This record gives sequence, C-alpha cells and structure tokens, in this order.
Amino acid sequence: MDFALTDEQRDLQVAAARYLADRYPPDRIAALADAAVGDPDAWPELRRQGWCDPELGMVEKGLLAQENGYALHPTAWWSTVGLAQPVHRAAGAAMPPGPLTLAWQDEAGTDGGCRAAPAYGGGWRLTGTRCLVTDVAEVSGVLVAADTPDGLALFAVTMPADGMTVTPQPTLDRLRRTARLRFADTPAELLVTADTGRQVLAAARRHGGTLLACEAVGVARRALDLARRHAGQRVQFGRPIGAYQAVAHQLADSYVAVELATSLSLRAAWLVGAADRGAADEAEVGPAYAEAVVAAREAAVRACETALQVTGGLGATWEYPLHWWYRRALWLDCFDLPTAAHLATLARQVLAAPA
Amino acid sequence: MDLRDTEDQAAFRTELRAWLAVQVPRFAVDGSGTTPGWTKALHTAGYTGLTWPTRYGGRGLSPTYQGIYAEESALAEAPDHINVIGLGMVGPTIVEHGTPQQQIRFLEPILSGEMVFCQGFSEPDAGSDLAAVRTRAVATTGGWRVTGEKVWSSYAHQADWCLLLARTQPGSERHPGLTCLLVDMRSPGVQVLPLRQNTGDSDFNQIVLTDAFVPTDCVLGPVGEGWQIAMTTLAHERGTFGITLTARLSVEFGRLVRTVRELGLTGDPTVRAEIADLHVHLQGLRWTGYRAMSMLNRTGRPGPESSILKLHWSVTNQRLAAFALRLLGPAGILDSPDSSAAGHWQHLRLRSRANSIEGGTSEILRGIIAERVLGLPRTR
Repeated sequence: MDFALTDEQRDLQVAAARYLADRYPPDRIAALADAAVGDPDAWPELRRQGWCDPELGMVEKGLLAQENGYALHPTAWWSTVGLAQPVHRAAGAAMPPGPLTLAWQDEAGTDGGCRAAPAYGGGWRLTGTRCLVTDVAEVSGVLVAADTPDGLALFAVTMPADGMTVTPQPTLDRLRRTARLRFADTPAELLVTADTGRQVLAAARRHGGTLLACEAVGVARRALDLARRHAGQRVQFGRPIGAYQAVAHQLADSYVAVELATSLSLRAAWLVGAADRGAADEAEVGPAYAEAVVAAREAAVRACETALQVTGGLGATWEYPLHWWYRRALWLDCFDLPTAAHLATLARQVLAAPA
Repeated sequence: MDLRDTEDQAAFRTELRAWLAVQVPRFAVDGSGTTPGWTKALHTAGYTGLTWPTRYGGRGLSPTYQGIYAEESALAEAPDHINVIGLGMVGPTIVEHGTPQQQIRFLEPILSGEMVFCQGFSEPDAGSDLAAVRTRAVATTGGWRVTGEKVWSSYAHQADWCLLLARTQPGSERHPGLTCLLVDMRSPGVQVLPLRQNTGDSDFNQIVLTDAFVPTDCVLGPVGEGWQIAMTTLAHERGTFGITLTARLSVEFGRLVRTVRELGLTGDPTVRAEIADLHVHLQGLRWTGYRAMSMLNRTGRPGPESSILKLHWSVTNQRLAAFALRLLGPAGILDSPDSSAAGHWQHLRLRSRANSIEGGTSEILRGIIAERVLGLPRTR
C-alpha cells in the first residue's frame, strides 16, 4: 500500500499549476467568464505540453483535473480527454488533434433522443437532439450517442456538419458552456457499434465523472485559499478575522471536507485506471466512483459557501472572482447523475453485502 | 502509488487475520483482554513493537505494518490491550529520548507486557490547556518528591508505571519548567481512584500523588524540557491511531447495517440515504488514514491530512450513534439487554459525546488545523 504521489506525479502537478497560474490569473478568468468565451488559442500549447497524451495515467489526469478546477482552466480539455478519449480508446481509433466533446444527454421531459440510420453508399446519418453538450464552441468534432436498430452506438461527427444546428444553452458557469445539438440527416462515422455502445458510453461517463470529482477538489482548494487569504488580511475589531474562532473553525471544517474528497477522488482515479488495464474488480470501482463524486461535490459546494461567508460583503460582489468558482461547484454538483442516484448505488451495495 | 498491499504486506495481513480469529474469542469471553495476558499473547506471536527498532526488540517494520495491525485488530474487535500506552506512546518516546539504562530497563518489559504504562498528563485545571500543569516535583536527595492530581488516565488502576508531566521549576509558568517523569505506581504516596463517566462506566482514573518519590534515573529527557517530550509522545499517538479509529467506526457501521435489517428498515428511503452518506464519510476517513500512513512512510512524519482524522471520526461516530438510536423508535428509551442490540446504541449514544473531547477537543483540533495547516493567525 502506497497512497502517496510519486515525485514525477508531484512534478507534473506543480508544472500544471504553474502554467495555469501564469496564463489565467483570476482577473483573466473573470474577463473570459464575463464574455462567456474560452481560450481556444491554448490548445496547441496544451498538446505540446502533453496534456492530451494517450499514455497519461488516470492519477496523472486526475491531478491535471484538480489543477483545472483550481484555475478554472477555460479550454475543452475535460470534454476531450475526460469524455472523448475513452471512446476513441475503446474504438481502437486514434484521437484527431483538435478538441472533441461527447453528446449523450436527452432533453429533460421529452422523448427526443437521437437516432442513427445507415446512409446510401456507406456511412450513417443522425437525426434527433442531444442537449447539455459541453464546450461545443471550442471543439472540432462531436462524438454522439445514437440509437440504431441494434441498440445504442457511438458516432463521430466532424464540424461543421451538414444538418447540424447548434443552439447555446446559457449556463450558470460561463466557463464551461453547453449547447443543444439538433441533427437532421447529419453524416456521421460509426465509432463504437451497438454491441458495446452502452458499455463504452457508461465507461466514458465514469472516466469523465472521476476527473470531475478531481476537478471539484481543485475548486474546493481554491475557494479555501481565497478565504484563508482574506481571513488573514481583513481586519475588524482590531484583529484579522481569521483570529476569531467562529471564522477559523469554519475554514478548518472546509479543510476536512477537502481532504476527505482528495483521498476518495484520487483513489477512484487509481481504480478507474486499474480497471482500464483489467486490474480492478467492478464491485470495487463502481462504489469508489460514487463515493468520490458524492464527497467531492460536497467539498466543492461547502468550501465555496464557507468562503462566501468568510469573505463577507466582498464575496457578495460581482467583481470578487469567488462566484466563478462557486458557479463551477454548482455546475459540478448538478452535472450528469444526481448525487441521490450515487447514494442509491451505495445504499444498494452496502445493504446487499453479507452482514 | 499503489493502493494494494504488497505481497509481504498481504501475507502479514492474512497471517494476522487468522491469528486474531483464533485468539480474540479466547480473550473476549471473560473480558480478560484488559489484562497483561493479551499483551503477552501478542508479544509471543510477534505483534508488539512492530515499528520499534530491532535493537530494542522490535521488528523494525514500516508504519504500514502498524497500520495493518491497527486495522485488522480493530476489525476483529480485539480487546484494547492494556499496554497500548506503553507500546504506542511511552516506548517510542524512551527510544527517542531515554538514557541507555532506561532503554534497557523499560523497553523489553514494555514489549512483553511485564511493565504496563499509563499516562499522567491532564489535570483538573489543565485539560485542553496542558501547559497549565500544576503537579509539582520538588528536588530532594537522589530525586524528586511529586505532589498533585492527574485525571482521565486510562489503565492507571492496572498500570505498573506512569509517564507523568510535572512542574520541576518552582514559579515557572506555561511550557518551560516542566519535566517528564517515569513514576512507579507502587511508590508510597501514589493513589488511584476510578472516575465514573456519564455512561456509568469507569474507563478512566484519577491519580493522586502525595509526596511520591521519583529517583533521578527515572527522569525522561532533560529536566525542564518535559513539554517537548510530551509532544513527542502525543505525536506517536497520532501515527496510525486514525486507522484504529476508522476501523472501529467501520465495525459500528456493520452493526448499524445489521440493526437496519433486523428492524426491517432496509426499504426506507431516508434510512438508505443516511446509510449511504455515512458510508461515504467512513470511506473518506479510511482512505485519508491510508494517505496519512503513506506520508508517514515516505517522510517519517504524518502529513497535514492526518490532522483531520480524529476530528472527523468523532463527528461521524456521533452522527452514526444518534442515527442508530433514533432507528429504534420508542424502544430507544429502553436501557436493558432486551432492547435491540442489547442496549448497545443507548450506550454508544452516551459514550460518543466524549469522542469530541478525549484526545484533543474538536475546538482545539480545529484551532490546530486553522493555525498550523491553513496558516491563519492564532485564535488566542
């Protein structure tokens, strides 16, 4: 048992943190968020630095995701590496150089969905809707989950594509924007057949979701850092407010939540990586993923809300950047499976186990 | 990073588990675990002093093995062994700060269970504020005469020796002027009285010292530097203790799941949600404990993450105890063997409130995190 980062892992994390801190100081993050745009120019540099290397281990990706959350890294890295990369890997296909995303979610309250049909002369055509698709404005291609007569399969659509309409869906977190995609006979390439489509999609969501748990830890750490810096500097009644127990102890409790979430998200990353190599038992990986998501969401939301309390009137303003991290925390708290569903998974596992 | 036991660790764990499966029932039947017999059995089997240096009779293993031992023995509900303070706290402190004569005299008997230790730190007026210690030791021919009162001392009624913190410099205040003494509990002037807790149990004692004589060769570390020695002792306590606490919590959690089943509540959605959430916190503690242990292995010191373990364990154990008792419904008022789980939850509900007091109050622990980990200004 060795649950400590190696020197190489630590170096990777420090290098990522330094790169992001230099490129995205909080005022730049606030400006990008205000304008609701990303930083697509960063992509060649990310590739050059190896952020998208297919050989990167899952713990390493988890550490990058942590730093992304800390910095609110405004690129399509997560959509590409978190969601699209595992699909390409399962398909045995090489990743194209540009950023990608994955579209699988149905419109709530509709029976919309997306269907695929073989086209005359080869290839496939997609018709239907996918919503809450992340980073669409940044990517050069979309992977789409669509129903075929044999079941759910995964397709690649290169942008721009015929018959595809993109409608932005404005989001609470303006740094990870989403869009609704409508397909009308849109040409697509079959990537993963219906034999394994459902399974590959579930694995990709878990891969991406594990990285989001790591990202949530980074969000929590940043909120805690903003709050502790403020608590050390802001003077009221003649003392820095961090010298009052009512303030200090709230921050200590945030730290507790951050550490629990750090442990569970790194463990989940390690296990998901081991599962990719066929070296972990599903009965262990599934619950570990759920535990990480629940703990990390709680840590991110709690750390941000504590920071909002500690930073007082300053934290309540638009100009103080904390709310961008809070918005990301709320985004993470809601995206994909709800926390209640993860808890239900865990209750099933715990209550089914032999006494 | 590798979250699995190595081959050697797995073998150690398997062997230990098998040994505990046979031995724990033998000692649990009559509650004789809290006698030197259990420590002797552990010693004979080679499970004492796992991390002690080999030249002092230990096995010189890494903290991981101590972690495995702590985890497996708690999961097996092994008795609290009587010399836990000697093995876990006093022994390592003597290794670090003792004279060669003290090492020869005390270490081997601590390992074998012949010398049972207790600890005399807290006093009626020195609880969280340990530097307010008032027990005084006055220099006399060949040693010191000690007078004062110590409280919350586990095992003092069974102990042969006590590691005592006393004020040796008259008129001194706070941290300077304190000294650590090794006190023979059979010396004239040493009296042990049980403290009765609000559960009705007596897990702790009061030690009253009246002019008790401590010879010079029983001073541990330099005179006047008792505070530093006491801190070493407490640091050793925090090594793999988080793993023990978490494994005990995991035993309680298993019991809670059995209670849920017995009461036919497995289909209740609020019960399911609480069970799942408690499980997440338990797992968070467990893996943070492993992370802290791994840092200890790497650097020889527990990392900052270790500071949350005792704090969050107490929060979670209290939450579990409150939830469990409420599950019983009106039967929760019963305090007798015919209540569900034989009154276990009633007892745990009462006992768990002290979890956020003993071994560092939650207020003190949050203060330590705020100041030493988060770098906030001192709150006092």
